[in-house]
Amino acid sequence: MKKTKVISVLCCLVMLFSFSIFAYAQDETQINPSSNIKENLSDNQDEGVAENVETKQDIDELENMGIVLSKPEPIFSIQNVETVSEKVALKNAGEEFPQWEEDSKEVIIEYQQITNPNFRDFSEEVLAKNEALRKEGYMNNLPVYIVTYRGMSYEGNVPDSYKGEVPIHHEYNVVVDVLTGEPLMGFSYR
Amino acid sequence: MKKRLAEKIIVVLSLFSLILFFEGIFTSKEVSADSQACSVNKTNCFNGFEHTFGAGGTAVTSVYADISTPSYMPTVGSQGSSSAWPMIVNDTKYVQVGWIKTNKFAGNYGSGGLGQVFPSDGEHFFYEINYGYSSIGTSLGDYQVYSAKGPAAGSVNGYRVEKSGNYWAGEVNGNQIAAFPLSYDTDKFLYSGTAVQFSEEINSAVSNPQSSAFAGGANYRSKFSNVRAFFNGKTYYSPSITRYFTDTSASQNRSHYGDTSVYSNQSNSYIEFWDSRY
Repeated sequence: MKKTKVISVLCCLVMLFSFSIFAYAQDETQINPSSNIKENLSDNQDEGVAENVETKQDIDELENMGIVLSKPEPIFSIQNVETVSEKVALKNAGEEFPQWEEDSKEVIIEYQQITNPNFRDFSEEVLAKNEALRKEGYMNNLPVYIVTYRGMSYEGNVPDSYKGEVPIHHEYNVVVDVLTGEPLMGFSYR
Repeated sequence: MKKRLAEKIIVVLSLFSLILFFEGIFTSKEVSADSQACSVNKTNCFNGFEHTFGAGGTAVTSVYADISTPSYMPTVGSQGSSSAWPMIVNDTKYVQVGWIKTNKFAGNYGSGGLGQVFPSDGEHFFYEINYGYSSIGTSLGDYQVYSAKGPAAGSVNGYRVEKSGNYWAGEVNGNQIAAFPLSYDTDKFLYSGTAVQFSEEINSAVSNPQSSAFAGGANYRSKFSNVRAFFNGKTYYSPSITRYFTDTSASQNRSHYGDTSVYSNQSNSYIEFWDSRY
C-alpha cells in the first residue's frame, strides 16, 4: 500500500515536471520566434507591392514612418528638365553613406515619387538647387531614387542598462533627388 | 517624576532618530556609478548619465541638449558606430535624436592621434525610436531616420525630442528629422518617458566595440550643455544625475554640472565627455 502511494506521488511529480517543460517551451516559442525570422524577412523583402506602386519596400512600415510612395511619372517627362541617372544616384548615395555601401551585400535602386511631411532637415545647398523642395519645405510628391543597401548588421543605439533585445538592422535606404542627384535622407526599419 | 519625564523624552528622541535613519536609507539620493567592462561584440558601451523621474503625471514629454562636437571626430570599427544623443526612456522603449558616425576613415589621422580624425567625415544627424518589442537579430519595432547632413567638427548643435500631439518629434537646430506615433499597436505603446539619458555611445554587432572611439580626447572634449527635460508640466534645467555610466575607455568631467541655484543659468552648467585613450 505504502509502495503504491510512493509510486503515485512520483507519477504526479513526473507529470507536473513534464507539463512545466511543455508550458515553458510554448512560452519560448511565442516570445522568441527567432527560428522564423530569416524566413519572414526574406518574404517581406519580396513583397510590399501597393496599389499602383511597384516597390520592394514594406508599404506598411513606410506608412508608420510617415512616408507615402506613389507611382511616378516616366522619368523622361519630368518638367522637361534634366534629371540624373541611376548611376549618378548610386554614386552620390554611396559617397554620402560610404559605410552602408561598403558593408552591403546587395544594392537595389528604385525610381519612386515620395511624400514625407515629417522630414524637413535639408541642407542649404539642396534647397538652393530644388525649387519645389524649397517652396514646400518637405518632400511632396517628389520624384526620387531610393537606393537600398542590404546585408549589413548594425546595432540600434539603445540606452544604458537596456533590458530588451538590442535591435539589429540589416537594410538601409538613401533617398536621392532625381532632379539634382543630392541625397536627401536615409532611413531603416528592417 | 522628573526622571520619568526624562525617560519619556529619551524614548521619543530615540524613535525619532530611528525614523530619520530609515528614511535616510530608503530615500537616499546618492549618485550611483555604473562602469562596465565593455569589449565584446554586440555590446553597447556608454559614456553618459541618467536622470530618473518616474512615471508621475504626464511623465517626461521633452528632452533637450546642446552637444558640441570636438575638433577631431572619432574613428569607427567594422560595422560599428560612434554617436552622441539625448534620449527619453521608458523601460525597453526609447526615442532619441543626436549625431552618429558609421563610416571608417581612410584618410590621414589628425594630431588627435590614432582614433581621432580631422576633418569630420561621414557624420549624420539621426533619430531613432524603439517601441520595445525587438526580437533577437532583428530591428522589429525599431526605426531610424538619418539626415544627409551632420555636425561639423568643432560645432554646437541643439537636439530635441518632444511629444507633439500624438507624435514623438525629433529635431536638430529646430529642423524636424522625424515624427513617429506615440502608439504603434494598441497593446505596445510608448506614451511617455520615465527617465532621460544624455550619452555618447559606441557599438558593433560584429566586432569589438572598442575598435570605435567615443567622441573627444582629453584635450578636445565633447560637451553637453543647456541640458533640460520637461517632466509633468515643469522644465528641469540641468536635471540632477541619478546615475552616471563610464564604461571602458569612457571619461567624463562633471565638476561644472549641477542643479543647484549656482547652476540655474544653464549655460554655466555642462558636462564633458571624451575617450580616455586619446
